[in-house]
Amino acid sequence: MIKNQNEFNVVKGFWPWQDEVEESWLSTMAMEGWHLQKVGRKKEYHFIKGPSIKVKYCMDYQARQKDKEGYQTLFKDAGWEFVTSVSGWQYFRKEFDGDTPPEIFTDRDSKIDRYNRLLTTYASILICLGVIPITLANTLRFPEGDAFDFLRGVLTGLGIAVCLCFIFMISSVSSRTQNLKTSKK
Amino acid sequence: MSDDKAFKDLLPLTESTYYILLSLKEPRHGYSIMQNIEAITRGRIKMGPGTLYGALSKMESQGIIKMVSEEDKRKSYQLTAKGIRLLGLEIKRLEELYRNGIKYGV
Repeated sequence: MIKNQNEFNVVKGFWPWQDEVEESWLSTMAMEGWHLQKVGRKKEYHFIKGPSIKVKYCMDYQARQKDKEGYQTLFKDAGWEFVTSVSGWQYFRKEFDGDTPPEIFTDRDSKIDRYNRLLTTYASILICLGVIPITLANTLRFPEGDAFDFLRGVLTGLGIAVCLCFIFMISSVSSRTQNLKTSKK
Repeated sequence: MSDDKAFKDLLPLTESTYYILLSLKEPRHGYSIMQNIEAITRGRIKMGPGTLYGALSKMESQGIIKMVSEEDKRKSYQLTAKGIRLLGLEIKRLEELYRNGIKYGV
């Protein structure tokens, strides 16, 4: 964490289904005068100091963008400022008065669709990664293996761990969409 | 027959999809769609750009709307023949709901 008068960098982890927590954290930072500039791949948030403003942050997920400019123009026309994007996550913000913050998603289906786009990405990563431990495990000779078998064993274990992590994320995001589907709004 | 089934899968429309389709009887770009929806619902629906962008991509891939022009990075869309048919079927369905509501519900 680096903090001086004008800049503030912090590494902070949010799970992908905690988007609302992340958004409200960014809004709280803006109230304190810290305005998001960039988010790094390792979740390093970079802020610069400015006036304290009431601003709503919203995150969209668009992994493969064919028409980035058209997409950002639409948001700009609607009064949203594009802040930054990282790993498919698109950060927007909008100043507002009153008690009701503006939203980029105004119905339930579009929120669910956004999670589904995220799930598609995770599922493809899982399929690609899944091949590694399966392939490696098939080459293992046990118990008469040598040092290379040991190494392959470790890699297989790591591969399985990463896959389990993705399975956990997929099931968590799925249950979030299920909650949305059964909720009233 | 299989054609009818394709339409049944798309019905009923969500409120957002319905109003986007209504807006696209004539060519409009994204922001113009939002303004139109807000105007015809007298401010009840202020559609967010995330919802609109997602819906437009989805509807374009379903072949119910198509891009007709692009100006200053703003794409304009309009209904396809399939979209017109779908909207007609939905209006009929809503009409039945409304008629029965008046007949039995009031």
